[in-house]
Amino acid sequence: MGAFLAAYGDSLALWLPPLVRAARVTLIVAVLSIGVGAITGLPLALLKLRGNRGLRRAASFYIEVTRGTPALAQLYITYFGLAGIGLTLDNVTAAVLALGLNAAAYMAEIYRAGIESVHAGQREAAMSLGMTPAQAFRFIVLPQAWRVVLPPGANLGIAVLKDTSLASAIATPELMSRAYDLVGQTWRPMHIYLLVAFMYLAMCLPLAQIVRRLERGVKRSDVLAARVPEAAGWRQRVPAA
Amino acid sequence: MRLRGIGVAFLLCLGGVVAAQAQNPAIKTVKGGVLTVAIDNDMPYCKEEGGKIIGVDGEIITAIASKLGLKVEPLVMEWAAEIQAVQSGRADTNICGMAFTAERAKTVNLSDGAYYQVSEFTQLKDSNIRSIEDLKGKTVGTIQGYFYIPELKKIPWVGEANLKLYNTIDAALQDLMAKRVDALLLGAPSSAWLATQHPEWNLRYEAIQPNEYMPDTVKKAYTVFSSRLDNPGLVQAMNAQIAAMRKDGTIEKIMAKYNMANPAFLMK
Repeated sequence: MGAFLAAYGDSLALWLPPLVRAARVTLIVAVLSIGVGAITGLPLALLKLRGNRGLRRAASFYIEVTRGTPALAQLYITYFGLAGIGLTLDNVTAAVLALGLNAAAYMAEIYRAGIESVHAGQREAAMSLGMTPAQAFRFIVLPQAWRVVLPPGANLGIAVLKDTSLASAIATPELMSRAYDLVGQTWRPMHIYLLVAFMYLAMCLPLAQIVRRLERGVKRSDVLAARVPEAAGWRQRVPAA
Repeated sequence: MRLRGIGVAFLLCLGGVVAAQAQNPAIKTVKGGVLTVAIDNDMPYCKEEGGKIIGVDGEIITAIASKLGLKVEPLVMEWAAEIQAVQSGRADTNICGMAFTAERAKTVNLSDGAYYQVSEFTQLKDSNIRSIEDLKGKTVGTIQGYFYIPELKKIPWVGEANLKLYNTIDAALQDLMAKRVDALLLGAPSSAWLATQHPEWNLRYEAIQPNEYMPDTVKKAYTVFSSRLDNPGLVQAMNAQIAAMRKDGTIEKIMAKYNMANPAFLMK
């Protein structure tokens, strides 16, 4: 054990700088991929819920194909396959596009579950008050769906962050790629992989903390929603006879 | 009586053959009578085919194992995982164009050199990279974990910014074809193999010239095989066989089979 730790003492200063630079690339790819997934997932969910038959089928087809094929294959197709037809993307762009569009399929299902968790009667009630369908969605459905969407959405974010390690296959200078390289140079796999695992953990823990807070927030708001009307002295008005 | 004599002689001969093929008790292996070899299917160095290992390193290690009375069993994995397989006791050795470095020798036993490695710039026919000076404003690629990466990074106009690291040669070549990378620094055996396997790719190869940034790369690295630090018997036995095979021309013959007849590779 002493010899194992001594290797860190000797070489940590050499190993850390390239790994920290690579962790920055990992974070950039992860944040942009999560952004692409979150933005693209919503219209996909809406197409699946509210689109006409053709659009519903197209959205379902996209979601099933994306979820049913490995992200690594999608990365290869985006990076090497598109180059074959003249669309030559750099490795970071290809990684963001492939991982983002992969996340979009999962996000679409999370959005759909969130939207469907809001009772249809609320939308109808909003429209009976004169709101347009878009306004009812924007002001009534979405704020409530958001509470349901956020915790699993943040969990997906953590998964995407870890999936960025797949981008090493297309020469993206992210954390896992640099770890493989350092292992090849130093032949100290356990030292390097433990260090890298710790770095991923350090990036994921804040996200996990956010997930926990969101989940607590959702629970609290549910409890409040059940109590607030009485606590505020709300009484159903009985129409005068 | 005569028949009995012939029978005894036959049994003695058979016993001699069995004894000659039996594993030397000084050599410890993961599985009795078997040399488990971690490889990453990278031709012309090694490739698993029908339970055997072909390729230059594959045939050399098979010949060594045979002399030591061992049967070879390949364990296919990624290059970066090979050494872990040896360190964790899953494989006895790893091969596939592995060069000696002092850093690597701290973690495993490394054998004597089997043959020299020469590094070359692999590039498209219309490219004209002849020296590291020609890399200015260009992007160069190689494979994760290759021994010359630390030196490549020290070249001011390469650094980390203009260096792309791939996990396989196939991925690197695809990028070269797509012109996302200007040249690949690969071992000359890989180039020689590509030239014979894919002449239609129109690649050209330029041996790396001596330069101030890459002294270790150009001073002739050599190919070695590994074994666990606590198994010195195996590396000593491998060294004896490598010396004999270098001397009797066995390694030269194997290399010629894989288009590596260049005397620059040979260790005498």
